Parts: sequence; structure tokens; C-alpha cells
Amino acid sequence: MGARSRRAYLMQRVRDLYEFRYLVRYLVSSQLQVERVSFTFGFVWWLLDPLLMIAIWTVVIVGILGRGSNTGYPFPLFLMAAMLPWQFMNRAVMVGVSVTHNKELQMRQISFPRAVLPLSVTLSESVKLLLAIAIFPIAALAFGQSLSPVQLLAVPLMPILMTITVGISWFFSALYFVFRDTERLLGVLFRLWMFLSPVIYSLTLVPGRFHVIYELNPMCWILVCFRVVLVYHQIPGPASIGAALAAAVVTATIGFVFFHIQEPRFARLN
Amino acid sequence: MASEDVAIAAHGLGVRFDLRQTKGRTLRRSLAAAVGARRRAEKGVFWALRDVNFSIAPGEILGVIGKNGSGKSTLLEVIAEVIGPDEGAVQVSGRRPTLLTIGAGFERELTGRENIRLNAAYLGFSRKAIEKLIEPIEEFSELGQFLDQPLKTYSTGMRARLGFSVAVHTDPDILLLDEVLSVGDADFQEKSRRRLEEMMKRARAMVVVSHSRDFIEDICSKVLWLEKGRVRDFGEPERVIADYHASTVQQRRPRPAAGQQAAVAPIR
Repeated sequence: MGARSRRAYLMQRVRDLYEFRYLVRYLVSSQLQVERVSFTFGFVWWLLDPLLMIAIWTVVIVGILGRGSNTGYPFPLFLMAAMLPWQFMNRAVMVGVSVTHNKELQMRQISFPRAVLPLSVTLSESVKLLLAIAIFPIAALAFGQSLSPVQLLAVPLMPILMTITVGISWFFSALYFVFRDTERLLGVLFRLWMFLSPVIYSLTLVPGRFHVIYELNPMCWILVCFRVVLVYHQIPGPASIGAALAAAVVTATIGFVFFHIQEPRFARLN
Repeated sequence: MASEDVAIAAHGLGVRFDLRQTKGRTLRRSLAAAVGARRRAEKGVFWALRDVNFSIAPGEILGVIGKNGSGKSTLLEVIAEVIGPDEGAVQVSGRRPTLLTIGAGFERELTGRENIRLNAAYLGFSRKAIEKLIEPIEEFSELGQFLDQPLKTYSTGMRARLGFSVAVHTDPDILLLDEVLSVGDADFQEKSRRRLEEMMKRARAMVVVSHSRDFIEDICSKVLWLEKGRVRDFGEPERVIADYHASTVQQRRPRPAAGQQAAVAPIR
């Protein structure tokens, strides 16, 4: 395939997504409904993991190491502002990968744009992100912090995070069809990735020579933006916002292209 | 572009399966392959279809015959655009050729009615089109109040009935049938058969895979005989079917009654 026909092919796949928008909508609502039926406390389980991490790291960093006070804000809130968006990406990708390969039967029988599967999971998981972000002001009040309207900027940050997430989800859902152990790899990879992202520490603590790692990390700047908005009540600088937006565009594009390079394999393997 | 008198045509069609990959590739296997096992690699390739050429005109019904593993279902999957060809091409005139399947895309936790919507959405129907379809499908399925129950409460027969009801209301331009579909009790079967005949009349062309000689002879206008993924013969039903049976007669016991064969309900 030449560059031009490849481009035309990908544009056609984008149009397919639009044509099947009703399928996306219906998958989202049925995923939400299935979850409501099978887990009465679905969101509680979702929240448990980041809450546990926040508790552990607060004990370790503040209690044992005696650090973390230089943030000027209660350390649990500092963690929470990045841990919740991180948990969203983590869970949405995990669920996206498993839903995609659980639909192998459908893929073998019906010709629908397979990219709708990771997309619909990201959308249905975003309900939890919204709930989690709504919990933040409650936690802030509990720690005696004031609220400000600037924190509402977390809402427009959500679509950026979701775009990054769907790109990562497309990438790993397709990688599953190359390597069947992708799901197991993901658990380890995400743990490592979290420590390489400014989740339990602030980017300002990182020495300059390591910054290149963070600049290549698609999750880095969106996490910085969430923290600036939620914890420091500030409007993120144009550089951070620009970097987060660029990460979203690049990640979604790479994920989408890789997904469609691998797609011909999907229906053939069992 | 497609000429007007061709509904489906295959040109040098080939589909290859990589047997190593169908085992499921893992990091360990891939590393092993990269390190030393390269010599063995070529042996793992299997052509499910090779050099397949045929063409049918609008209004025709193509029957595909051949032994198990001869590539019949793979041919349907390629025409349905579920898998892409590795060689050659398939040319189809008409919108989204659809493999008539029972209950693909059903979710256990959703109700029958919700599953109708989901199944139709997978097939690419818009919201408006689904709203129009839903009542005839509900009526056809005769499932009554069960439509509001989650699918996990259904018996196998009820599930097949629901799936079939959706399948026969999708009215694709190109209708693809794998084996004779037959579910439910005698009344439902009769109703299904009539419905299927209506669909055939409306469809632009149709491809049927079946082991039932009577069925193929009755409805098909062309027959394609596949053997080990290659075309053994293509042409008039009477001649091709007679040759096919002549070639297999020595390995075959007397044919079971037609009714018995038709009762096979393939649920995949």
C-alpha cells in the first residue's frame, strides 16, 4: 500500500467510527448497565485501589520518611489529584483490552469497525472519572481546604485525558493480538509507568537531565494540569496545556494507526 | 469499478492461515522463533483458499459444496469482509454483505429487547432503522414477556429463536448463509422458512453453504465445489453436484433423510 492509499484507508476507518456512532452509544449504555447489575458497588471497588495507594504513600512519605510537607498542601490531596486520573487511564485500558478480545466471536461473524470497542469502554469508564473528580472537593473540605471555581477546570481536562486513554487502549488492544500475554504485561508496565510519571511526586523535584523521559511520557502533562487545577487552584500554563493536548493528538493517532495495522489479524486468531 | 452484471466475483482469491499464530503468539514463543526456529517457520503456513475464481450475476444464488475443511466457511467470511484476502480480491456490489448468524454479539446480562438493539447496532443499523425493526422482530420471535428478561434466563432454544429473528429481519443486499438455519418447533421452522424465502427474493445475490443436496439443488443457480481450498468445479448445479457425489460416493454411506439434515442448527 502506498502512502496515499494508506491515508485513504485510515480516513475511511475514521468515517466508519462515525457511521457506527449508534453502536458506540449502545455499547456504552450496555456496558454501564452490565456493570450496575454485576457489581452493586462497582464504583466503590474502582475507588478502593487509588484510596489504598494514597493511604500507603502518605504513611511512607510523610509518616516514615518525613517528607512531602514542602508541597504546602495536605499530602493525601496532592496524591489524590493525580492518582484519580491515573486510575482512570489504568482501568479503562485494562478493561478495554479485555473487552476487545472477549468480542472475538462477534469479530469473526460481523464486519463492524473494531475500534469502537476500546472507544466505548473509555467512554463508559469516564463516568467513574467524573464521579472521582466530584469526590475531590469533598475530600478537600474534609482536610480543611477552601474551594475555588478554578477547580472546575478539571472538567474540560477530562476529554484530553480520555483522548490519551483511548489511544493507549487502541494500542494495547491491538498488541494483545500480537502477544497473548499483553494483559499480564500491562499490570507490571502500568506500575512502572506510574513511578515514571509525576503521580507520587511533583515534577519540580525531578532533576533537569531526566526531563526528557517526562516529555515523552503521554500521561505526564495532563497529570500536571490536573494537579495545578485541583490542588493549587491555578490555571495551567499554556506550555502544560499545549503539551497535554499534543500528547492527546499524538497518542490517539499512534494508537489508531497501530490498531488498524494489526486489525486484519483479529478475526483470524483464536 | 464493478460492472453492473456482477454481484459477487472472486479474482485469484487466497487466504492464508499462519498455524503458529493461531496457537496464540506469546512473548516467549516469539523470542524462540526469533532466536532459532526460523527454519521451521515456512511449514506453519496453510492456505485455506487459493486461486479461487468465480463470478455470479445479480439475482443468482450460489451454492458452495465441499468436504469439511475445504474452505467453505472461510469463503463466506471473506465475502462478509470479516477477514481480508491475502491474495487476489473479492468484488461485491451492494451494501455490507452480511453473514446470517444466530445471536452474535449477545450479552447475557441484557434483556432480550436490549440484545435486539445491540445486535442490530453491530450490523450497522442507525437508531432510526432499529426503531423501525424492533417491533416486527419482537413479534416474529414470539417471546412475549421474556423479552424483558435478561438473556441469561433464556433456554438455548429461546436464545436461538431470538437470534434468528434478528438475523432474518436485517435484509442485506448480499445474503450469506452458513448451513441451513433451522431453529424452534415445527411452526416456527415453517415461519422461518417462509421468511427466508422472502429475504432471498429481496436480496441482490446470495451465497449458501450447505451439506444438504436437496437444498442446494432446489434453490441454487450456480454451484462452487471447493476441495482443499481450491476450486474443483464451478457451474450448473446438476452437473457439479452429480460429479461431487460421484467422487465421494465410495467413502459414503447412504445419505440420511433430508429432514434429518435440515434439523441441524448451527449456532456458532
